[in-house]
This record gives sequence, structure tokens and C-alpha cells, in this order.
Amino acid sequence: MSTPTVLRSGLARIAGQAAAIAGEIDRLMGLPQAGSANAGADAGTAEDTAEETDRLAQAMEEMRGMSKLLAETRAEVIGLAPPPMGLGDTLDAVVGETEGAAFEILRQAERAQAAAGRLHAGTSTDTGADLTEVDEAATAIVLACAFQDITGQRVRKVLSTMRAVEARVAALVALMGISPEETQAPAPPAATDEKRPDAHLLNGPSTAAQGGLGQSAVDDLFG
Amino acid sequence: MKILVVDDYPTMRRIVRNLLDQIGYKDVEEAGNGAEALEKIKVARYDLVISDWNMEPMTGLELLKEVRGDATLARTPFIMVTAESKTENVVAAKQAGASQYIVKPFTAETLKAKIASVVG
Repeated sequence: MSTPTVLRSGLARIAGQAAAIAGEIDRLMGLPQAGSANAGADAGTAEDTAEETDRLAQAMEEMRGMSKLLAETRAEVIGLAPPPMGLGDTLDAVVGETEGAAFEILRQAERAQAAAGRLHAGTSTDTGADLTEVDEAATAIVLACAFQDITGQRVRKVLSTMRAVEARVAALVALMGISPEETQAPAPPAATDEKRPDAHLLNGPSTAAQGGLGQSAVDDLFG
Repeated sequence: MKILVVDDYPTMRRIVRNLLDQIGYKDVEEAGNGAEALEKIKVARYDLVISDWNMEPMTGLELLKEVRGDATLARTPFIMVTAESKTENVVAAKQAGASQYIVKPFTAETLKAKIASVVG
């Protein structure tokens, strides 16, 4: 069964259980209070005692029913909760792999630049060896670019999980009756950024659609 | 010319250092954040500071304000090199006294042109 279908059926069951709980509460609230129904009657008779016992037994039965429904509802909500994912670890691995690849590419580029520099300046003591150095560095750079395959797979996995989480969170928000206006309230800034006086300017990289400027637009502003 | 490159990512420091080397600037030092850079600037004189913005514990904008607020350092050319590319960022950096503003990712030609414009 697809995730949306599972969510829909889960929400339907929860909605049914919530209605049942509400009904149980209404019935419980409608029961006559023990000792108040026959206030004018003689207290302590065997008939009254039996009636109160029946009422208590009925109330207890109603409470058990509510307890069972609440337990079932809790199980449904647990079913909607996000699974353990380790997204942070996956993204940390992407950062590490990207940085490692960048360093390797830089190292090899500098190796090629050094050899090319000797050849250009006419200071090479072994032209063949320096040409081989440039060739090997270029091959190493090509191989280092393989990091993109691994990091791409990791990022796609994270995206897939994020979409599933997004769907579950949306379902939980709907279940809790939170309005769209409430969900659009601005989130509090990250704790680490709050300390910095320019925290409100730390936007991170922005696309053109997000208001990010290109170099020529920046130059115009700097004029 | 003595240049201080400030960035919290070692990779970016190495890229900028490599480009500066290609342009012909060999006397380059590095700092990993604004606070570390400020310590260096107060000890040694630099002819140019090239700084990222988003760093901890001291950002590039805070570093710029510290430099401009110190009479002995105030005239140091300061180029902001950052991924922060919104108008509000550029305006804030200009108001704080940045000499030039480069948006990441950038080219060697852009870096060369901006350095030439601030150091002559």
C-alpha cells in the first residue's frame, strides 16, 4: 500500500476512534450522579446500594472502553510518526566526501600546475617526466570526480526520506486540527545564530528566485 | 603584498590561495574565522583582507566592523567573498565599509579585477 493510502486509512481510523471516544465521554457525562438521583429516598437500603453498584460497574466499563480506544489511537499516531533515519549522519558523510574530493582535486591540480610551470619556464630537468606528471594528475582529477556518484545517491536517499517525513508531518498537522495560517508562523532562529549581531543577514546561498544577486548586480549596487 | 584569507572552509582557503598564487601573490596567510583573523591583523600588517561572511564565532561582517573601527587598521582594503548574495547583504557590507564584494562561486578573473580595483 502506498504511503498516502496508508496515511488516509490511518487518519480515517483515528477519526473514527476520536468520534467513538467523544461518544463514550458524552454517555459517561450523561449518567446520573451516584447518590443524587434519589436524593429524597431513604439512604442505605439494599435497593439503592445495588443501583449504585450497577452505575459504578457501568462507569467502569465505559472507562475501560475509553482506555482501549485511547491505546488504539496512540498506536495509530505512532504509525504516522517519522521512522528513525540518521539523516544527519548521511549529510555529514556527504560533507566529508565532498571536502575530501575537493582537496584531492586541488592537490592534483597544484601538482599539474607545478609541472606545467616548470615546462613553461624552461626549468624542467626531465620534460618527459613532467608531461607524465601533468597527465597523471589529470587522470587523478577525473577519478576524484567519482565522489559525485556516491554523494548524489546519499542526497537522493535523504530527499526521499524528507518527502516521506513531510507527508507524515502534514498528516499529523491535519490530525491535530492546526490551520495553514498557524503552520506558516515564522520559526524561531537557530540557537547558534541568535548570538551573532548579524544573524538576521545570514541567509546562506540563495537562488535568483530567492532574491540572490549575480556578480554584475552586486557590482551595480557597490558602484 | 601581504594578504590574509579568512574562511572557515579549508577547501575555500586553498582555492583562493591557489588563485592568488596564479595571479602572482605569493605572500598569503590564512585564518579560519573572524576572531582568529582579528588576532593576526592586530599583530601583523596586511595589505589586503579577503574574507568570507558566515563564520563562527565571529562573522566576516563583524570582522569588517572591527577593522574599520580601529584607527590603525581602518584603511586596510577588505574584500568580502561570500555566498550571501541578497541585496540586504550587499548593502550592509557596503555600509560597514567593504572595499569590494564577490559572490561565490566566482572566477579567477573576478578575483583579479576586484583586487586590482582596491589595491591599484
